[in-house]
Amino acid sequence: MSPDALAPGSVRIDHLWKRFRIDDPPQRYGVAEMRRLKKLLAGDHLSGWRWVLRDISLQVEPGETLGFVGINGSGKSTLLKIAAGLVHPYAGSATSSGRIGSLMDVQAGIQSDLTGRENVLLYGRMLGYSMRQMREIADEIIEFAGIEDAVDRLVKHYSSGMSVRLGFSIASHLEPDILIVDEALAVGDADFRLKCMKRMREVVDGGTTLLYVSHGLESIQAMCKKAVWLDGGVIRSAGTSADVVAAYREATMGAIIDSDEEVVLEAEAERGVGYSKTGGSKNISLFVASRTERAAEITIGLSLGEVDPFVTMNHHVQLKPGPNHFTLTMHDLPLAQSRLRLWATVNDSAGIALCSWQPLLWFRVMGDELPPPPRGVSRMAPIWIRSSLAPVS
Amino acid sequence: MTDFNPDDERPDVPPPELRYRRRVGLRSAASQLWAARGMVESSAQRALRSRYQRNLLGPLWVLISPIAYLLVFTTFLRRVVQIDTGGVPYPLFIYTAMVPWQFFTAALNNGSTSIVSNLALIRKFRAPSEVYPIAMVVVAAIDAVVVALVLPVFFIFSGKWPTLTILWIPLILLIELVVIMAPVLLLSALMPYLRDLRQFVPLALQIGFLCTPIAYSVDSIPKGSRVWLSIVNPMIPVVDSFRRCLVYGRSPDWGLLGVGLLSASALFVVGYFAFRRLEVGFADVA
Repeated sequence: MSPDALAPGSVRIDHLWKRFRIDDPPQRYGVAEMRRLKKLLAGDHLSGWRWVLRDISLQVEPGETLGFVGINGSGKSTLLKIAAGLVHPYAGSATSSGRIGSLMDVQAGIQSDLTGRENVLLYGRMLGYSMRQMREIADEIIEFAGIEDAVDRLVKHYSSGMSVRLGFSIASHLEPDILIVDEALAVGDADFRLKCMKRMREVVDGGTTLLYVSHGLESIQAMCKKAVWLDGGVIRSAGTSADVVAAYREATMGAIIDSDEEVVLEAEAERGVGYSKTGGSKNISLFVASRTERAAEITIGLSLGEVDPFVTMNHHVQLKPGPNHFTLTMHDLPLAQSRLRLWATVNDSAGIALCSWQPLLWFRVMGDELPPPPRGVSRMAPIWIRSSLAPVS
Repeated sequence: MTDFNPDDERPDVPPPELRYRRRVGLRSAASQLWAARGMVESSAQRALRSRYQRNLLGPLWVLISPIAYLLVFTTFLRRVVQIDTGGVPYPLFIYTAMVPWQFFTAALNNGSTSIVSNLALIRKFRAPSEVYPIAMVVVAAIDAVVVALVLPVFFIFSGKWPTLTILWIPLILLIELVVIMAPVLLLSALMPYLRDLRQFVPLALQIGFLCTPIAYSVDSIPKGSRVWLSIVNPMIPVVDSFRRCLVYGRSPDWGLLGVGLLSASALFVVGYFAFRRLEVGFADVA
């Protein structure tokens, strides 16, 4: 298959295999090499290597959004690197066509001994833009990254947040045919993450293909129509992101149930990056995996930052063994503009904790600004939030 | 969208016919390289900048090494050994040879480590890896130009001037480029796998310096061994022809230069294909 036959923005991965070396102790490089050579001469090409990807086949059409889920070491990043043309396969083939904007890790293709602006210009030239075109869009990129003050400093003096912002900004503003984002956004602060998600959405709506790796299952669901679950270097399941994420979640929660925890709790905001308004409502999905059938009480709390919750809500539920899915709805939020953390725990009917009281996710309420300090998040005291909890079949 | 085998149908190893072979035609390799010229430019820029960062003398350092050699040879070596320069003042004789030699050493020293020192970038940018050694050769060429800029001073002091044979110089430099690129490609591609080469290259260059007619004339090499020595070390005819054209007003020694070019071209082909072959693993080598 020749790359010219592919429409820009498509990716073809065909029976792809990739292996890495099992690391040798470095001080015995010579000895290890000799042994390897001896084996190689004896016709043994395989010992001393481990497979990271085994027989992967994938097709991504232009404009498709594909998310990747899987535990660390399942081969997600390697697959993306091969798709981006940065790493070569051992067997099979990977072809992608068109401009690729990739954001692979914290440094994200940013060269540390160039200044921010030089990086922007260089990256653009790498993607085939002329110097003149680049000067035109450079300001926009720099503004999005929010590094106007630091733009003529060397990138090595940037904070890691700044270089990720710059990397994302460059990769997403150069109208790539394929945008590859690997986990990198976890480094930025919450505000920037939100901005990135919005920007990714815009880019994708403009027809760019997206390959996206994230441990945040909710963002996979929000960004991607389709998803692939990699497990030990093979595709465990593939399909719509809702199905794949659900299967993955069930399996990982099942795996945790194998541990000695009595109950495992996960939460997810219903819309990946949605806002809620003062006086509006907020939906949260709760996943509770239980070992046995039991009556239980779910306690929800909200806090500002990492401090203890300032309000709690209790709900009695009946848990069935295995995964349970609930929707928590908080009505008429009496909260001013704020960023909140949602806490949750599960107690049995006697009030004994079945899992720890822990912050699970954050969400944002848009609305009126708070009065100047001293301030409170609520407009009324004591605060009380009307909420309901409904099982999802 | 996806088709995948259930585990039981999946072989443990890929069938041999699936083995990945990188096929890049020369023409598409050239066009990829051209598309990545911005990368050569920025790599070269970066190398120049980092070299002179927090350096008092800056670019003057390029001149210091040939001039230091010059001083040692004129004040010391010449008193010990009788060197026949054919009537050319010794400083001019030696400094002329330093120009192509400086080009060669700088290119080999930095070019051979260029892949190893840019592994982080190779893992991040989709660009042909040749850009990194090429950028270092560009930097070396700039160094050589700086060295050459001082040449007129030596001509003025010696009262000798180049004749029309100076027009051969571009051709000789082109041949030297082949002589340089061949080992640079081979060594830079091997170095990620065999770091010992990092120690080996400076040593080989020192030996090369003694085995090349820089401090002495090519006439000191017995006629019978000149041909095979030029096969082993193509810098012999390059440096010799450079000096013949610039200082002696004679044409290059075409026979010897041809032998050197042939040998270098053979190594270039080997080096290029080795580079292509080894490039596949660059991103995997830690």
